[in-house]
Amino acid sequence: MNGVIAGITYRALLGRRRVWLLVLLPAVLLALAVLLRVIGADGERATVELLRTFAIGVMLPLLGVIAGTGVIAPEIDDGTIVHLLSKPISRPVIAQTKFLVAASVVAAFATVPTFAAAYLLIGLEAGVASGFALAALVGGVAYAAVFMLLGVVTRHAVTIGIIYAVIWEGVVGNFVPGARRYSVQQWAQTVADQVSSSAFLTTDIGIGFAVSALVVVSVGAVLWAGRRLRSFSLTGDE
Amino acid sequence: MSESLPAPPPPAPAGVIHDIGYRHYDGPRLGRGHAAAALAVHSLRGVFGLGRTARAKIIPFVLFGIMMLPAVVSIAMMAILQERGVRYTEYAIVMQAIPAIFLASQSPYTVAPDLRFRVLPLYLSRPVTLWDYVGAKLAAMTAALFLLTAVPLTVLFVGELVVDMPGAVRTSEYLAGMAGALALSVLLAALGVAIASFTPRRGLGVAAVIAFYLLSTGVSTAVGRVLEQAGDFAAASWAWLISPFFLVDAAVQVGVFGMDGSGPGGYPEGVGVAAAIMIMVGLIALSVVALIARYRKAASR
Amino acid sequence: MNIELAQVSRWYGNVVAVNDVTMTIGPGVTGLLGPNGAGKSTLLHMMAGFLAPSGGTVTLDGTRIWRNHEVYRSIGLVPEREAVYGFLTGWQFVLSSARLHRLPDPEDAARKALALVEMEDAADRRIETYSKGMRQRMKVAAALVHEPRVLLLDEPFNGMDPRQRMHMMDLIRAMGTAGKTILFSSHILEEVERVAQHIEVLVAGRHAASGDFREIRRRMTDRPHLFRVRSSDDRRLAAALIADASSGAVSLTEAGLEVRAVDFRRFTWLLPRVARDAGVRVWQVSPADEDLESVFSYLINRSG
Repeated sequence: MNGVIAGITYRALLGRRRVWLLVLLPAVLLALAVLLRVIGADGERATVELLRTFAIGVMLPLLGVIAGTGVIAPEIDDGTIVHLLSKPISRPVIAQTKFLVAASVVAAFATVPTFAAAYLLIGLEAGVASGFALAALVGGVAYAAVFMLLGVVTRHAVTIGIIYAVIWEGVVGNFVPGARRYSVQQWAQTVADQVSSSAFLTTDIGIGFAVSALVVVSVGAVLWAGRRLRSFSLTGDE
Repeated sequence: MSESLPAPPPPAPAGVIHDIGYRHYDGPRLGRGHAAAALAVHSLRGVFGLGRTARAKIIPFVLFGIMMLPAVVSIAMMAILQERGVRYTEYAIVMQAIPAIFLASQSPYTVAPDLRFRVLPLYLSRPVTLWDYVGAKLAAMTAALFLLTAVPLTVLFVGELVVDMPGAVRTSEYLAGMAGALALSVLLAALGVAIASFTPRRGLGVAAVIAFYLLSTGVSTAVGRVLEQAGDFAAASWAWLISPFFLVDAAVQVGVFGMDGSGPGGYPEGVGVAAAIMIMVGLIALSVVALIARYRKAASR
Repeated sequence: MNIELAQVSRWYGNVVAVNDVTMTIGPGVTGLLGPNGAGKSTLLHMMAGFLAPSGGTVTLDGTRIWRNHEVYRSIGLVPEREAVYGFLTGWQFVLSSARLHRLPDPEDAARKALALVEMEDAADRRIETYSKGMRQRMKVAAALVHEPRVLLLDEPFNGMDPRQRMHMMDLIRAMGTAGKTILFSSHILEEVERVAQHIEVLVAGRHAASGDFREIRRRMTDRPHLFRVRSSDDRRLAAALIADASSGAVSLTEAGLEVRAVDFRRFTWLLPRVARDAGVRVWQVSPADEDLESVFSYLINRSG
């Protein structure tokens, strides 16, 4: 962790147009929660449905893509990363710092609104609010790590990230049972299921597998990103 | 021996412009329409990665390939099992993730580099006007999306003609599907290019367009489902229209052509059809206005 | 400190960007000269640890540069691209550099570096409001903040106005005199001529020349040149040419005359006059030793 790098990265991530997209997503979640409340569809079932499909299914991967790639891909794109890399700081430390920034942003923009949306609808009933908030936290951390790695590895990080999020997690993960074992969303939902006692939330992955997969993916992605940064090469423009 | 050589010639005049053969072009010029058309064709080629690096071709062509799969599978089913596969009008809706990703990944390409490198004044110093520029970009993206959605339909239709299934050929359904594909292409292109034009960064543009798609479908599904569970089917029928894919289905394929809907529930009827068409046209108009406003600002810098 | 390159090559797929280069960059100012696309940036990136050599080694006083972030304690790098954060002020940018180097007094170091490039007045403005030359100077300040003993600059004078250019040249010269190892790349001869005594010439990825600037220039012009001349009467022209001392040897071949010119300037001056006096029409004069010619014409044309 390096304070200077973290400071610059926070400013790059939150100081420009990117932040509006980061704000928009939780805002829509809260707006939906208010809408459900107003039309009186604020049962436990509707809450779980909203959090599962929207908070974890849509908002979380999008926040992950925007923040995860946002901490490093634009800098690689315009060459400013050289300012950080031409310093006597180990590259894995740079990767870890960038990851912490991305993870903290995703956590802040996902966890709090998720908890708030659930609380707005059903209070603390059946541990749904805390369960999904925890799921958003762990899932957000894993997404931040994976998408940061993508940002280091390829110039088309955002496109590949959304293809993964939409096709693999959205389509394949929801229809092909086998693929569910390899989906960040499903791992996060398993964590939510563990905390919450709600009958409307069922998952088919063991908690042990889900937790270890989350840890392995997050740690592995950050380590790999550090390794890739060690061999960062400046070449001509595309 | 240098003494025996003749003296150097007197110095030349202090300044002279040499004629080194540059020529003016005095021939006929094709004019504004051709310039705009050239820009549109160039942008369309660029969307598919033609004239760009090999890497730029991968994503559009892979997406195009995936989009073709149901058509190929359906033709095989017709030929081998004598069974009809996917319907023409539901094709783009079943496969909606692909046009959405295509839109997100490629529409920033059409606008972001020009904004980032501030070359807009160069375009506008030609006979091309702001409207031509925006029109060319929109036309390129629309054509690209139409190719993506209409080519599989047409291949499927040709397949159906060739296989010679028992029963009538579904020509009217094919035509409704084509009309739906065209309306969808115009709507998505307008929205996608308008959203992408607000940032000169390609990555952020991609994220913003896909966020628009996921938010609209996510909100549509979440609200629609909850309303149906609450038993309010009339309200739910309106909620589906939040998704651009269901909006076009409701407005064109169901509304104008009277086909069966392909959404998760029923669409509003009667006045609802007119409203769906109005919403669709309104969204397109709004996007174009936003684009023009955006470029007025960008061109003035 | 010395940067040593031993048989360094770098290729991208089938394209060889740098071909078997061996050189040592020592204290003082060295100019890396070559036309656009000669491989200057590739070579400089390898020296800066931003590219792995495909073959050979690049070391700084014996320690490997690639994948060794400790070298940046001694190396300052000014990249060619505008690697600056537009949303920071100049002061914040240079200060961040000092902090990233973990200097004991970063504010003081940043102030000194800004003074060196004369950017104190604009230091509180955001970098995105700067002109290209100002950004360039800010990059130099950020690279100098830890007083590196080695400074690598990629096309440092690009985008600067003449006054800024003069100032930057003075700065580089002064640092070279102070014993720092400075390498800068350029494709413009005048820049190199004014700043560096020692030059390394790179042409098409190969190390074409190395040493004192004036010496190389003299060698390029004064070496014997082989010309192939075709004319209306080769025999008569040969007789007229051999009479002058600047033509070392003249031989008559099927393809025309081959003339070895000992004194290049004199020969080029002489040939048209001799031909005119002898009443011979010259159709073609072409250099027969093409390979060195590219270096040569590059140097005398004084442009990329």
